[in-house]
Amino acid sequence: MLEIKDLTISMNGVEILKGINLSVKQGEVHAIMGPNGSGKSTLAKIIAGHPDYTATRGEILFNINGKMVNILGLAPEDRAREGVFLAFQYPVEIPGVSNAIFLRAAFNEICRYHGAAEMDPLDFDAFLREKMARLSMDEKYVNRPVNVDFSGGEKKRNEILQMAILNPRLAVLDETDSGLDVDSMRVVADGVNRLKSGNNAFIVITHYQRLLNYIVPDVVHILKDGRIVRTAGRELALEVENKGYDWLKQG
Amino acid sequence: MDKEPLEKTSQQPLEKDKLSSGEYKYGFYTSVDADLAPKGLNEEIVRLISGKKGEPGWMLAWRLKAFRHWQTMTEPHWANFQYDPVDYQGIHYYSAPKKKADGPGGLEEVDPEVVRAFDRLGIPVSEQKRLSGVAVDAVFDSISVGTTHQNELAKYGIIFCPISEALQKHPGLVKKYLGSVVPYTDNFFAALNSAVFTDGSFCFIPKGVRCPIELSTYFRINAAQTGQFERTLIIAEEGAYVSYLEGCTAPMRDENQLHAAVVELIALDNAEIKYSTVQNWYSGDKDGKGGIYNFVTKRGQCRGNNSKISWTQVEAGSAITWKYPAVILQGDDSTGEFYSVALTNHRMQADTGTKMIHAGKRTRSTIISKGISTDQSNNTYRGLVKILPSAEQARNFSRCDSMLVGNQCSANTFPYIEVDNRSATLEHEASTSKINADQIFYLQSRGLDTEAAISLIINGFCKEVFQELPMEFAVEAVKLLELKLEGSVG
Amino acid sequence: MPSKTSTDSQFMARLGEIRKASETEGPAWLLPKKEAAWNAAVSKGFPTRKDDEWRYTDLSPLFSLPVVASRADGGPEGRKSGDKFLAPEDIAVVIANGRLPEELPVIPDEAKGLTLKKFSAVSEEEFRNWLAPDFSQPTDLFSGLNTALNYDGLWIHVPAQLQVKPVIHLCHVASEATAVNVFCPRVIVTAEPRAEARILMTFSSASGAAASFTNALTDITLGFGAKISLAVIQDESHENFYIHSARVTQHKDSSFDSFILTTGSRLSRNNLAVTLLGERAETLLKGLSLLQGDRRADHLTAVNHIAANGTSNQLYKGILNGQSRVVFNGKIYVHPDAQQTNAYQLNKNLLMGDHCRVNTKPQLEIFADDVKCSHGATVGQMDPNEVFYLQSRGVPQKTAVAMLAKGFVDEMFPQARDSVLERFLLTVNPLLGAVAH
Repeated sequence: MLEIKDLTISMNGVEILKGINLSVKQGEVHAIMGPNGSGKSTLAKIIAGHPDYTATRGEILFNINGKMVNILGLAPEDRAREGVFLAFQYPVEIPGVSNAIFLRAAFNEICRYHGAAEMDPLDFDAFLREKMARLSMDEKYVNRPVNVDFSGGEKKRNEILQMAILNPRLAVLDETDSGLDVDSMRVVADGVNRLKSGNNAFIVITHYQRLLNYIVPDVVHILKDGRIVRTAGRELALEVENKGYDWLKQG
Repeated sequence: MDKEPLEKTSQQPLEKDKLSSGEYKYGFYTSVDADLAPKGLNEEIVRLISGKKGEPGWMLAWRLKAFRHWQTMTEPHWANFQYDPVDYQGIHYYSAPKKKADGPGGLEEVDPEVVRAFDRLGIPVSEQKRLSGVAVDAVFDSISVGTTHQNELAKYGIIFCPISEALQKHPGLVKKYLGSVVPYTDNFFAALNSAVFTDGSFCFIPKGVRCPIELSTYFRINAAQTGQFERTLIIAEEGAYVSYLEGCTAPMRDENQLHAAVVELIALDNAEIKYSTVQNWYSGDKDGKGGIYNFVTKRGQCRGNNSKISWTQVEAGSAITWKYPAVILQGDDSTGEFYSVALTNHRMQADTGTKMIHAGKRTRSTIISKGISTDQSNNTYRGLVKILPSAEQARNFSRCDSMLVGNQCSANTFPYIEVDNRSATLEHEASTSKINADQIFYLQSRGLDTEAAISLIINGFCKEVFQELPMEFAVEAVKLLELKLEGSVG
Repeated sequence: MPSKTSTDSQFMARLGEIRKASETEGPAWLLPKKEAAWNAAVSKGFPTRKDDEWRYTDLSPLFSLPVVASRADGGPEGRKSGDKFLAPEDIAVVIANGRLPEELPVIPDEAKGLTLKKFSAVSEEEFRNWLAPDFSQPTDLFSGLNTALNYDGLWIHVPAQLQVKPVIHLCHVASEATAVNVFCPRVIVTAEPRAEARILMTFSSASGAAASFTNALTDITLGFGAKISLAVIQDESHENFYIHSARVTQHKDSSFDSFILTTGSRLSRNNLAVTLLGERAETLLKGLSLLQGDRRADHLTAVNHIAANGTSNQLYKGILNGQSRVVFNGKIYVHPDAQQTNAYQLNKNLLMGDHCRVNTKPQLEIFADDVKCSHGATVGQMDPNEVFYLQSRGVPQKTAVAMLAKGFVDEMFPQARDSVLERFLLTVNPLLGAVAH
């Protein structure tokens, strides 16, 4: 479903990602762990198409209608419409724009793109409230401006809510666990697990292994200094938990 | 008066129904037979206008005084504008679509083209097709062509009619209030308007009456080389309430046209007037050619205690906007509000804001202004908050935010704050910033394209103002903004 | 003797008389500048309240001032009256009645390389290299008058890399007992790359001094990476007229900060114009007006962002008693090339007197899109809830008011006490005590 080949990114002459190779299949959950500054967030952002980052080398292939297409040239909104989703580490606040209006606009954009019927406000409201209830989100968030005056945990739940509504094929969760208490983390993990199916895939980026107790990965990668230095099964996360990152050799 | 030198013209129709790339959908011209005064301005023209309307003698005398005063004045140039000088002798001061027959007014006598024009603008003026919940006075160039709901309103004692009709039927009321808030000496454009105003609306809400529907006037400039000088007068007696809406459009033309209106509002004890404007005069093309010069004096007076006047405006049109809706807070405990969105694109120049003059005790005012500049436009907020020595415990809160979309536009903020009473409390905040790239990306990553993302962000930016508008108007305003932003971003 | 209804042109004529006494004083390079400045001033004339920058301050009381030429020696007795602001560790120049002393101070070893020179000693070459730009700037009327009427100016030059540790103190005192004088002190500061210096300018009047009109002009140029700090204290008699224009030009990576403290007077006008000409320049401007009785203070700031990545911050506060009046007119201008500018401005006023007045006019003119600019202004009384809170904890009402006023002022001062701050507090503390009556 996702095939990253030799992805290299530099900013101001410094390489942040140095030839990443990553292959994610349908139905899989991949965890990417690594110390601060290893390039984890950069990887998440370039998958979603953040304009600050350009690849100097390599490609990101994504399965669109059965064909592997390099999505590096696609606008962020087109990647989203094709089913790429990024749960932001720092969700952006948008004053004056209510959560419901924003979510419906996004949902309908994607419907329109795929030639499906748009949902009217009433149906969407019911749909939204049901999803929110599952995430134990208070109804007051329906009409609040997007992420404005949300606590850290509420912002993260709001990201998961968006994921539940947009129903992506590939979801990248960028440090969704940071700043969450255990209860919120359970709710977030539950949201991911409920969405999980044989047709989609997840990349969970995290600094700590504790989230992986709730979202069980099939594969764990360690990213260090812009390179994937080790790839193994779930046990690798536990090993990192015990020993830290220093024992892993670079490159 | 029949001997007056009127030209009978059927003006050169522009390419009818011409629409330029969906930019300005009200840019069409309606071909009608018109009564057109000769170009130029002199006492004869003032007399002609007054004569056409069959006005009482005192009205003509007042107009002439205003005209003579205007001749002593010079056009003000302190605003942040660059424009070619206006040739006041080069325009027609009266243009009215011809009626089918002589005799008393009535919509059936109006040229059906005019009625169709309003239909096309979404403003049905016939009683059969009228909008429910909104009474409409439709002004076409120099005259009102029809006012709906008049009979129902009369049951409440509410007078809603063209000001020329009010001068016939309620001269006492007009005489009492006209010029009492904006004297003809006030400024150059107010003096000009006082001399040559042609039509506009008159609203009178008697004591204790809450006007059951929205009142509105739709102004349409149609004829070429004419100016529109409307005069609106709204009076809310003790305890009365009214919500009034105003909309404006004009054909697309290469030359500039002058619009110089005066609006006066008077609120007596415990009365409330809510005045909303969606201004969408033609703003010129992307090179700044053509468009309306909009020099407007709007002022309300909270004459009574505990009265309230609220201005809400969405300024999205005109090549030049010069407009500072003001509230004089005379009565104790009175309230003034100003909510404004000004969007400029192409080479538009807007210099707009408000004046809040606090005279009464415990008077309060709120100013929320949102400016959006795109392309090569120039958008200025200019406002005055004045606390007079008599205004014990007055309060004001102001916030003026500007957003820049693109790197060739400019945004200015010029607030004047004058406090002459120690018990006053004032807070003023202003900011200018670029549209936030992180917000755009966030929305894109959820599937919205750049234009939709920017539109959504700008709607959010303007929300505090939009929510002050009556529902249908708010929807219109949002659509208008989207339309103006199309092609301006990306 | 001019009458009370004396007009601006009569005042200009009196200045013309004074000029005659000095028009041939000064080095050869300066004389044509003085001549040109005078002619320009005469043709320009005084601003009126129709000029937006003078909208709230009426100059007409100035015009009835019967000014005459000052004594050439400045009055030796006057040099002592600035004592309260003098500190032994400073490099101090006492400017009495507008006149520089005969001898400038000896530069201590720790500031070796620093130059202090009178214009009269500046060579043609030094003028061309360092001073010429400040004489070719467009000027407003009062800056022009300064050039035309100045007897002798002071040039302070800080060479590259030098960090001047001692404070350079320019101590202005007015002490003439009977004659009404006009003083036009002029200072030009040039700082080479990475140079650093702190400049303190105090303006005070001796007790019993007659009214005077101070029309000061200060130019400061900061080279690449230079750091200059300017502190100004105007603590003069009520009768004084005071106009001080400071013009600052900042090159790349330079950093400028200023703090203007004024107790006001009949007319106290502080013009401060900063131009961020080089990228990544930083500016911090602070001003505090503590006004009693019917004193007035008027601040005009203009921060011009010409180059990218600049940062400017302005914080001006006023505490007003009696019938005093303060004006703040602050402008932020962002040139189209000045992308990624951050410019902030805040003006806060506390009204304590029954008839005090505030006029504030913060302005933003933004021509670049990728910027963050904001301004704010507040006018109000002390929060009665805060006063009550302190009272309910046993603090007497007057003390509570004084404490809160002190809190309002304190956030303007840096945490670390230094010798410049001590001088500020000399003026601030007695006034804060008086605020609560």
